[in-house]
Amino acid sequence: MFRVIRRHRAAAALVTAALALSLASAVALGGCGGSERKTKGGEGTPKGESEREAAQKRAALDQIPPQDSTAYYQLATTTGLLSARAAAVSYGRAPRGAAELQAATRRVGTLRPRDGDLQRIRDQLIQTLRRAPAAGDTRGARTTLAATSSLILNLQAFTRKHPQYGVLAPD
Amino acid sequence: MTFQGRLAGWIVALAAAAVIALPGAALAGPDPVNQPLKDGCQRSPAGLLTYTSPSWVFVGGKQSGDPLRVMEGGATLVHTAGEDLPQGHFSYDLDWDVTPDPQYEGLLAGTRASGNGNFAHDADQGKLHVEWESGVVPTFVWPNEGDRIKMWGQWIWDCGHWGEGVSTDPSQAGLQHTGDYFLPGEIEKGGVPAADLRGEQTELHPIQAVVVNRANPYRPVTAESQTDFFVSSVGTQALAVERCAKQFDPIPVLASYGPDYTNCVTGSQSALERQDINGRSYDFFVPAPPKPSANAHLRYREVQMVAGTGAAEQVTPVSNGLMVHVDFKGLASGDAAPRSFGATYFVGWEALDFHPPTHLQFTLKSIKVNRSLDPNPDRPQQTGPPPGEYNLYMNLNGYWNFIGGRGFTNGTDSSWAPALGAVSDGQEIPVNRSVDFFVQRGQPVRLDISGRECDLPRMDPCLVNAEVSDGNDQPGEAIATFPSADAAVGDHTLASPVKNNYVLSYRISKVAGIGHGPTAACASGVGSSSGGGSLSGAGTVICTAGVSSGCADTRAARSRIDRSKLRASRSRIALGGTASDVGCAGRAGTVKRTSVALARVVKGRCRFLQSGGSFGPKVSCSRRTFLRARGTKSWSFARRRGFAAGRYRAWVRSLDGAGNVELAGPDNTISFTVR
Repeated sequence: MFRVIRRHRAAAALVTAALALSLASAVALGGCGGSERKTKGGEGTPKGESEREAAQKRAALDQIPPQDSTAYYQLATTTGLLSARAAAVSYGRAPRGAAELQAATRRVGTLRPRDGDLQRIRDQLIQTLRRAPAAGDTRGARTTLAATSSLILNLQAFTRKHPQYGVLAPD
Repeated sequence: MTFQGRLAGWIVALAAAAVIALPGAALAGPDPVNQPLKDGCQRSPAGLLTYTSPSWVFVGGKQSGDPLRVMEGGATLVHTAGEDLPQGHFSYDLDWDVTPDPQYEGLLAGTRASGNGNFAHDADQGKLHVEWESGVVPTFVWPNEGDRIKMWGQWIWDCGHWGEGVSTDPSQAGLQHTGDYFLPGEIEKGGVPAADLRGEQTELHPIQAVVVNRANPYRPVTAESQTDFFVSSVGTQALAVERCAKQFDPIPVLASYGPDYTNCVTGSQSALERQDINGRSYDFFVPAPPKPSANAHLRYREVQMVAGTGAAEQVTPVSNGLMVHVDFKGLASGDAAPRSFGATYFVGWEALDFHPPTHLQFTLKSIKVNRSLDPNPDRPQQTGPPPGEYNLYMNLNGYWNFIGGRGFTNGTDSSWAPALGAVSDGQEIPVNRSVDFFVQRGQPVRLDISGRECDLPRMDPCLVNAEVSDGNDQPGEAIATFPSADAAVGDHTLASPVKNNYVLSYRISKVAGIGHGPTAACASGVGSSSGGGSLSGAGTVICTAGVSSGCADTRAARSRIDRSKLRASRSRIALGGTASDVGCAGRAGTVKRTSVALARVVKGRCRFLQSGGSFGPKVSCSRRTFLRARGTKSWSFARRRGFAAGRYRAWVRSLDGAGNVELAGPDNTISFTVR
C-alpha cells in the first residue's frame, strides 16, 4: 500500500513539475510559425505496410522543412534516451547506453531547425542534457525526469500543431 | 406440405447448416477505432520516440490473458523492414503478411464492410502483418511469396499506425479524422469516432513458432516437398514492451506512460523478453507431393537446422505426409533458459523419380550503385555525408541471403559484397558469388532484391551510423520472375525501379546432375541468426543444405532387432541389434542416429516411455516417442525401472547421413510380454 501511495505521489509530483516546466517553456509553441506549406498528401494506393509507410512519409515530408523533420526526430529520440537514463537511475539501476546518449547529444548540437518551437525544444533539451544524472544520483534523476516529461509534452504539443511529423515514428 | 415445400425447407436447412459450419465466417474481429486506446495504444508519435508510449500492446490490454494465438494462411509481401524504431530493436525486422484461412479471420481487426483496421483498402487488406527481428530467426525458415504458413505469436495492436494518408488541405474539414496522426485523447473527447478512421491493425508480433510449407521448394534434389519449422523462446524487446504496457498504467494528465514504464522497457530483463514456451506444444502437418502411383510408399528426411535444447519431437507418417508434434513439456515450469528447435522435413515417395528438379546456378556478377543515397538529393534534411551504407538482401525462390554490407567493419564483414556498406555514387562492385538451387518441375524462378540505405543508428546489420537523420533511405525493391527454370537461364540485369538506384548483373545457368547439391542458406546479415550464430542464446544455427553431394540419397537406413538380445523383466528391459545404410549410387552410407520407441500396449493403444523415465498417456501406437539408443550400426537400449506386467512393443529406427528416416517394418518392430 505504502509503495502504491509513494508511486502515486511520485507520479503526481512529476506531473506537477512537468506541467509547470512546460507552461514556462511551451506556451510559446502556440504562437510560433512552423511549417507554412499546406498540401494534400497521398500518392495513390500504396501497397503493403512498408510501402504505405514509405508513401505516407514521402507525402508528409513534402510538407515539412527539411531541417525540421530531422530535428524533430533527433530531439524526440534523444529525449527518449535521456529519459531512459533518468528512469534507470531513479529506480537504482545502472544506466545503459552512455555512448549512445553522448552521440545523440553531439547530433542535437548540430541541429538548426527553422521552426521556432523546435528551436526552443532544442535549447531546452541541450540544457537538460547538461544535467544528465550520473549513476546513483536519484535526486538529479527526478529533476531530469520532470524536465524530460516537459520536453515530451512540448513535443506532443508540437505534433498536435503539425500532425505530419507523426510519420517519423516507424515501428 | 407439398414435396416442393419440403424440398425448399431442406434446402434452407442445409444452407443454414452450411453457413454455420463455415469456419470463421461469422467471426468478428476487435474494433480498431476504440479498443486500441482502451488496451493501451496512445496515438502519440512523440511518445513512440521517447519510450513513453508503447509501439505494441496486447489485444485486450490488461484483460488479455494468454495473448498467444495460432494462425494459418498464405504468405505474401515478404521483406526485411526498410526501417524500424531503434528504441525497440537490436536488428531489423523480417516482415510478411498472411492471408488467413477463414477460421482465423477473427484475429483481424475491423470489418470488410467498414474497410477499417486490417481491412483498410490497400494491399494489406484482409491480411495479418507479422514482424520478427531478423537477428533471432535463421534464414532457412524465412518464407517466400505463396508459401503456406502456420504460426504462433503474440496477438497485439500495432500502436504506430492508426490512419492512412496525411491531409492538411485547409479546404477540407481540417486534419481531424483524415490522417494517421490523431493525438492522445482526441477520439475519446470527440465522442463518436470518424467513420473513415482506419484505426490500428492487429498483428502477431513477435512470432514464437512458424511452419513454412514451401510452395516452390528450392532445396530438394529429387521430387520432394520441403517444410521448415522453427520455434524460439526469444521474444525480443517487442515482448518486453507489450508486457510493460500491460503491467503499468499511463499518467492520464500527460497522456503518456511514466518512468516506471520507461524503466521497465529500457531495463528490460531477459525474463520479460522470454516467451512462455514451457509446457507448450506445436502440431503441424507436412504434406507430401502428389502420390505418383497407388503402390508408392512414403519416405521422408529430417534435417536438423538448429542445435537447441528442451524440445521433444514426435513425427508420425500418415498416408499423405507427416504429422509433427514438438513440445516443451519436459521443461520445469520455472525454467528460464533460452530454448529453440529448428528442422526441415523433406517428404517424397519411394518410386522412380520421373520428374527430377532442374539444378540451376545463380551467379551474382556485380552490382553497380548509381545513387548511394548519401547524400540523398531528394532528402536534403539529412546530413548524409558519403559514402552510402547499403544493405541488400536477395530472395531466390525462398533462398534468402544477405548480399552486404554491414558498414565500416574493419574487414570483419563476410557478406558477398562488403563494399555495399560504404559505397559511392557510380561505384561498381564485383561480386562473382554463386548459389546452387533446384527448381521442381513446372515451378517458376523468382529473384527479389530489397534492402535499405542506413541512416538510423545501431540496428543490425547497419552497425555504426552517426548521421543526423529522420529515417533510412529506400533504394527500392527489384523483382525478376521467370515462368520456368529454362526461361531463367541466361545473362540478365536487374535494376531498381526507384530511379535506377542500383543495377545487378547476374547469370543463371543449368548444371548437370546434382553436383554438391543446393547451397546452404546461412547469411541473414546478423551474426546471431547466421550460420553458427547463437540466436540470442537460444541455440546454434546449423549451416547445412542437408544433401550429400553427387547424388540423391533417398533410401533410409535399415535397422534390425536381435531377438536374442531381448531381456524383459519387471525391473529391466533391454534390446539390441544392428543398423546399416547404403548411400546414393551404391556408396557406403552412414548411420547417424538410432532410436527406440518402447510402449506398453493397453487395449490396442500405447503408452510410450518418455525421456524422464515414466510412461506417457495412452495414444495411438503410431504416435511413437523415440529415445536415443546407445551406438548406431551396433546399438543397444536398456532401461531399469519398475515395469508393470503386460504386453509391450518396441520399434527401432535409424537416421542416415542424408536425414532419411526409417519407417516401421517387420524387422524393426518387436512385441513381447513382461510377466
